[in-house]
Amino acid sequence: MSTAPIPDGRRACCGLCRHFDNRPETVEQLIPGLRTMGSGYSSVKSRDGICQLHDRYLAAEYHCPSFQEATATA
Amino acid sequence: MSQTASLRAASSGWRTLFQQEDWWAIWIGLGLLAAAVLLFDAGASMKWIAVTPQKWHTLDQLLLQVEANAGRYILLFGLWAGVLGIGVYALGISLRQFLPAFLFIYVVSVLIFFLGEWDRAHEYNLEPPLVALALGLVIANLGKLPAWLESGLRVEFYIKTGIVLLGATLPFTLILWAGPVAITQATIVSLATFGTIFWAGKKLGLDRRLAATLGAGGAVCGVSASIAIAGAVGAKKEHAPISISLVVFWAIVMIFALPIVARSLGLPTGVAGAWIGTSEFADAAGLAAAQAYGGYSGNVPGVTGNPEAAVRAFTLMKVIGRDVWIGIWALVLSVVATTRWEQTGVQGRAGIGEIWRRFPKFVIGFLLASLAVTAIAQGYSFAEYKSTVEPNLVAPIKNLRTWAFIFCFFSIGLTTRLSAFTRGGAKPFYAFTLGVAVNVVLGYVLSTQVFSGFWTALGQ
Repeated sequence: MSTAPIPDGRRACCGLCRHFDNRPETVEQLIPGLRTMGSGYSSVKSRDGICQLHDRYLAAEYHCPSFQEATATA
Repeated sequence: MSQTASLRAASSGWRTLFQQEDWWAIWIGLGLLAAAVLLFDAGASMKWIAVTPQKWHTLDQLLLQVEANAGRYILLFGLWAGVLGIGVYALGISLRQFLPAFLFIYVVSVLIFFLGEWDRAHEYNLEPPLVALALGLVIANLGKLPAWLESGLRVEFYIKTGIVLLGATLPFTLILWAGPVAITQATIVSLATFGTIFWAGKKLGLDRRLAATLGAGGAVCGVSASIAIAGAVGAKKEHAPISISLVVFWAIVMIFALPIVARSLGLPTGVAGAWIGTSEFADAAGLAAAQAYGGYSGNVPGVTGNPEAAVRAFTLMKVIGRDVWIGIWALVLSVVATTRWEQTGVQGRAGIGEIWRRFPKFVIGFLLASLAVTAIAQGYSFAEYKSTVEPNLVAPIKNLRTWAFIFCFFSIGLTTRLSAFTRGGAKPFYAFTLGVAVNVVLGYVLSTQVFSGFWTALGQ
């Protein structure tokens, strides 16, 4: 399965999807215990986040057929 | 959610230099070091503000010390609140919430540090790292913490800042000398531990992505490895918390167990530090154990070696031997998950850039700090180094490092919920615990038998 381009030319991936949330504060809330000896703001977390559709914790570079572009971008 | 998700995903390049706490630990650690060097060059020293409690015997001595240095402790709070405040503000954490929370952490840390300097503290095992952790655990688990305190509990931020400062107290030549041995020993144990947990997990019928997350958590760098590998392999949302709860449980057990066992065996500080570095599961937890053990030297009969050697050996083993390889683990497991394991509805495979993206960047600061102080020391004879450089440049940095570690140890206790340890059920516990057994025994054999002479020499 290849990632389809979205209108502005970027490749569709979880990091650009509305189902995906990788904000550090959200990740720390949704992964209990993370703050005890880790952090949502660390390098090793990279841009990983939570896909609410598939209920998975995954890298922003993942992709799937259910991609829906986030409506507002930077 | 969508807007912020896009913003965070687009963050890359130079922006990450101000959006990740690893980089802020570097800016703060190297900034403090630069200030110390400038003062040293000007014939002054940072030691006035980098105050620490001194040994005391009676309450009168303690009160006199507090009275004489109250202003220094207030200014030290200002320094820490200022530099850490800039960092957390840049990370998007509310300063209004962070500052009162940090004030609480600072005040309790001062009390713990003073208690640790009581001349009979070692008789009662009142080493500051262990007291900080135990006190935090009691407070957090007896009731619910107030919400305003949460913002100050930045365990990783404190420990990374402390490790960058630690670099300034560790000669670069020592890193070059000991690094290869640390990497060799850590690699043997990491591969054996991961293999054991992953094999046991598969035999027990666990999802391979959970088994891999558990394996990396036990073998590489604890909680950080758990989230890095969970993300790289696309684990279920509940997999990372299961692994994290087991890592934290065993890390807390080992904080107390490893120093006690090493002490009963009379291990030299360098050997014990290497064992802790091999067999602890998280940087913060291991540093608590190593620092506590270093404190035994000269205070507990039978424990020999330089007090600094435990922390040095631990850091070489854990940071250089294990932590820096997390990107390679993530890359390999991502490729294996995509090509060999069952499909999950999402796809993706990491590229070579994964190694740098997940690299624990604070290690760069640790190495730069070590290089800088080693270069400065080159211009002095050994006698000059001991009489001038060490007391006026290195000692104040070491004091600041100790403060950062105590903030961290107290925060670990305050963020640990004992009720969370039952998360995940029996099978992950059995798999992880088997890995713990292999890890501890193999780490002991390598530290005390195979490389014993090397780690003993490190402490002399």
